[in-house]
Amino acid sequence: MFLKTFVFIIGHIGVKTKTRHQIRVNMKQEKQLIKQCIQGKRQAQQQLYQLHSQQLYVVALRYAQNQADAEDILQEAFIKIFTNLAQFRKDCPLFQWMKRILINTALNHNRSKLYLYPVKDVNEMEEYLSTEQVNLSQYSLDELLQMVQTLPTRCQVVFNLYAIEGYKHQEIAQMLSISEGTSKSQYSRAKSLLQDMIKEEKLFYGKGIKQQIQL
Amino acid sequence: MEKESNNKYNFEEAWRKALSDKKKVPDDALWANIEAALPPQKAAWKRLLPWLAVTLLLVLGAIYFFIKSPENILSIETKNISRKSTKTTESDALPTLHQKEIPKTAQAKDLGNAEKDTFTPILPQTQTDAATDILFPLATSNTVLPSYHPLDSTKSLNPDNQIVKVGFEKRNSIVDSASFVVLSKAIPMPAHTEELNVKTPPTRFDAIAAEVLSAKPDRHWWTVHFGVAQVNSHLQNNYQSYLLDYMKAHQHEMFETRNFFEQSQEQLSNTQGYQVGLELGTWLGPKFYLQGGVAYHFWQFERQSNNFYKNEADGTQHDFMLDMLKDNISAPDFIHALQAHSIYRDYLQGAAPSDLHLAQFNAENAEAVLRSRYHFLNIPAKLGYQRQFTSRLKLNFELGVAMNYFLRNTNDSKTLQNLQDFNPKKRGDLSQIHFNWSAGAFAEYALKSRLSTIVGVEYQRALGTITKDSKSYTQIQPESIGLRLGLRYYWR
Repeated sequence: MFLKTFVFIIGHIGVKTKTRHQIRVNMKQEKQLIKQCIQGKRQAQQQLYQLHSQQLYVVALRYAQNQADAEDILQEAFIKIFTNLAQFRKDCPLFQWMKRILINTALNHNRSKLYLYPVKDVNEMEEYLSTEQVNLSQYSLDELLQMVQTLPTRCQVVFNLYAIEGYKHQEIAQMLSISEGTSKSQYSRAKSLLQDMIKEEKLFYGKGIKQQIQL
Repeated sequence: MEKESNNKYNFEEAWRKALSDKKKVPDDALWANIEAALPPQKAAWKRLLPWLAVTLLLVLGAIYFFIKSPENILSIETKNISRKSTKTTESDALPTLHQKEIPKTAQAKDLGNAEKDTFTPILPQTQTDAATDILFPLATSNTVLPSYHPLDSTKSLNPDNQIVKVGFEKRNSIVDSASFVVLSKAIPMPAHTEELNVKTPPTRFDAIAAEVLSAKPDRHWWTVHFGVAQVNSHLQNNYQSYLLDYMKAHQHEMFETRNFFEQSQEQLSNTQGYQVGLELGTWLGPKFYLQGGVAYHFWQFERQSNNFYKNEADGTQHDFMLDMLKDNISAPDFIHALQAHSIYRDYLQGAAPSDLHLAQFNAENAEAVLRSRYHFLNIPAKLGYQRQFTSRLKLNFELGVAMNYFLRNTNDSKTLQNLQDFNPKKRGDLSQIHFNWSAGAFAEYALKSRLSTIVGVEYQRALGTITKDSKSYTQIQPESIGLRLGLRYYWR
């Protein structure tokens, strides 16, 4: 028992030390990579692309309506990233900075569509808010992304910013130049649409989700 | 069933877990499209081109100076003299000094004495400048003042006269117009080289030359200077590192800091430096010198940041980052506690940049501008090299190290002049003493025999960071490049 406790403690300390060490090593490597990218070394730029493109692609898919749009957003974002990398101030993780640029690119991409839909007052949407727990483990990533992509653009953007990125409605309102109430109502609508899809897996714009994905 | 119930979360959390940090491979062609849109990669040799050009210039400059060096010309002249035959012909009715042979023994003696007396001849560059020319009879120089060497000769209208120009330099002194004596006389010269070695009685020229020899050179100088500089503080806010240390100190679990640090932005602007000082210099050798002194420096930085906020209740100014760390580091769910913190919310509402893109600051928020002013004494020690181009123009190159002693540093904002609540770590408290290295190039132009003016550029860079605590998450390692003007007065 004593030995087990000892091994557990040593192992725990070892893991913590290793984690910290790994963080520092990664930061150093990242710094080197950034430097080479700023110098315009194509190999380093490709390495950075390979390192983060897969994660950023999922983010782009969340904000896009289809795969082609997502690729356009990702491409535009990476060009901005490489062009402006010298302005990266290194006071936050590089990925977060890249993700921020990608989100901004996606918002600009969708900006024309953001104001097309009529907005209901927030009070009318209260009925959609619920605290019921959901289980998404039965859905694949593609299926979930498909659900998000089928949302109206404005709902989709607000849903991403609020539920996934963790922004508050007030911040979202500032970002999108809309009122806080509008942000809440759009989110409520997005939530209700998604809940409908999850619960019933029924018709949404005339087709079932799974059927729509297969198409 | 149990497993299913374990996977149930509230709506937002379920979606966040399902979609955060997921990966999907994009189309292979995407990278090719990005690459095509990026500016073409510069070839290695193109990147090195500016450096190659600078290196080439330096090498060519060095070769030029080497070839033009007085010592080299002297050696060429000496060789010419020694190789010439003593035979003269009718065509040599007006022989030049190059054609006259000086006996090797005498020549050796001359050179020996020259070394001993620390005088060496200089090149004929002084011939064209009346202020630095000496006309001196060759025969006399060989006998009475062996340290003088003939450098050149010119034909006189009178074929019986030979005008000889001789220049000299004090090896251990600066080349200064005051070191030269001006004499001018056409001296009848013998047509035959054999007569060169005939001893002649001392003339008044010998007396003047002797006076020159005995004169002490200007060995030291004072320089009064002032300057302006563009200063870059190289301010680094390493929040990530600071937070890691903070967590380590509090034995906190490591966690994903997510987009927390994105909210903090900082930018340097309006940096100026001014200096005024006094330096004392002295010669180490014919061309190298040592210079030291003291200068007062004043630097001012302005930092735009959204980290600072004003507490309207008591008027104090705070750093939201530090306050949040202090309040929340012991909380079990640190990051969520931070995000829920009232200061963070206030910050987001009040001082957050309106534009999310890159380093766009909310310049309208006057509280966001922090101004730092540094007052310090700079005590340098420099090694210099001087190159003379004309009798008046010289170039000085200096390399040195300096100790800086901070007298005072203040931080304020444009609206709050009396701040008390700044975090020392954030402010980056400065060490009382730190060091820097410097390199400079100055042109010196002689206004009078002992007074000259200097103008040039100087670069300074701190040796390491100048902040007191190495773990401070604001690190400053300033550098400056500036213009310096001054007056230099030589004395013995």
